[in-house]
Parts: sequence; C-alpha cells; structure tokens
Amino acid sequence: MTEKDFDLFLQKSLEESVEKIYVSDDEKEAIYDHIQRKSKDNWVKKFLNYEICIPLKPLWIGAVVCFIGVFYLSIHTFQITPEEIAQSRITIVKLDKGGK
Amino acid sequence: MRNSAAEDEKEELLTIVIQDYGDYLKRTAFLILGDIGWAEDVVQEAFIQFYKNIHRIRKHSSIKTYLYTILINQCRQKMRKNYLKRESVSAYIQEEMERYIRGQENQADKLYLRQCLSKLRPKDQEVIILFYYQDLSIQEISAMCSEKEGTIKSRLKRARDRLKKYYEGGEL
Repeated sequence: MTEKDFDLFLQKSLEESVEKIYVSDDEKEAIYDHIQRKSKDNWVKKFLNYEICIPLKPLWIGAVVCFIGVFYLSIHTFQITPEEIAQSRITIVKLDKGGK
Repeated sequence: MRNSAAEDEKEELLTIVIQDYGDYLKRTAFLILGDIGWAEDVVQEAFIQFYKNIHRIRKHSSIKTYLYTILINQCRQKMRKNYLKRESVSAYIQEEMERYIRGQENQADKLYLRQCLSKLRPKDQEVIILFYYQDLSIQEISAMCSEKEGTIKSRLKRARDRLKKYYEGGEL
C-alpha cells in the first residue's frame, strides 16, 4: 500500500467508523440545563447586573462604607465621656443633700 | 426572570455552535477516548466551557479552533483522571468500538486499524485524528495543541509511519 493509499484508507476508515454518532437531544438538553442551573446559582449577580443594572463592585464598596459608618456612629453617639459621668454624680450628690 | 440581550446572544451562539459542531466534536472525542460515555461527558464540558469563556473567542482565529482546543484539553484531562482505569477498560473500549463498527462494510479492516491506532501514544493519536478525520491543517493543530508547527509535522509523520507499520506488519 502506497503512502497516498494508506492516507486515503485511514481517512475513510475514521470517517466511516464514527458516522453513526450524533449528539442526542437529551445531551443538548443536559447542556442547557447545566448552564441554566449555574445561572440560577448566581442569581444575585444576575439580578443586580441585568435587572436593575447596578455593578457589583460599587455595591459591595457602598455596603462596606455603610457598615463602617453605622458602626462609627453607634460608638460615638452613645459614648459617655468621664466629664459627663462626673457631672451627673455631682448633680446626684447635690440632689441627695437637698440642694439645687 | 428576563435574560439580558448579551445572555440571549450567548445562548443563541451556543445553539448554533452545538448544531454545527456538536456531532463532529462527539465523534472526535470518541476517536480519541474510545468510550462513548466519556465522549459525551467531554463534549458537554467543552460546550459549558465554551459558553463560560465566549468572550475569549476574539483571541482565537476561529470558533472551530477554539472549540477543538477546549475539546483536546478536556480529553487530556479525562485521560489523566482515568489513567489508572485505562488499562482495565481497554477490553470494554474494544467492545464499544466493535459495537459501532459492526454491520459496516470492511469492518475487520476498520477494527484492526482502530486497534493499531490505540497502540499509539495519546498525543500521536490526537494528531492523526485531527489531521485525517477533522481535516485540520498543521497550523490549526499547532494552535490547538500550543506547539510549534515543526513539532506537529514531525509528530504526524512519526505517528503515520508507526501506524502504517503496525497495520501492515499485522502484529501489535
């Protein structure tokens, strides 16, 4: 068998030995199902990106800034300084003694 | 939930690609792996990877090259994962092959050629299948395998010579 004949035989044999193989509808469905499932897993990203068009990065930065802000305010708003404590004690003592 | 236009376009492209290349990809995977179940898994994974990385197509010369690159990588991964099982399933692979080839003309020749092909190294088999079955050029194969054209040329020649020798020698 010459090289050319062998090449032709090889080509033909390979083609013929797999010509009955097709991608079935079930396999196609499985591919789409997999893609859809993956999309549902990431529904937050999908919703934010495609439904109300808020990019994720700024959203996360905003959320972190809000959290830090609330935390900062919660510390500083309700903090009682030593002077205030001293002042309240003086007032209580004065009231106990019947003073004004 | 409504899909965005970009997502719709991606799905549309995927549908076209499955329609145009699905069968060829599955056949190539079957020729490389020798197992119809593995071929199905690999093709499914290849399409999912394609869908995920659709934006990278521009870097490649064509959709076809990109798809086959993914497929080859998936096949290699599958073979690596099942390396230990390969020996034990070789008999099963032959049975599968026989089942597909049975009923066709010159089946003995085809079956024997398939046996000879399975004796080649996996990389040699890949080159033979891509060149002879898929009719891809040396340039395209080198792009898919990320190797120099010269390397692919010499690999193809060596693989073809070895296959011819096995086939004509009659001994495996």
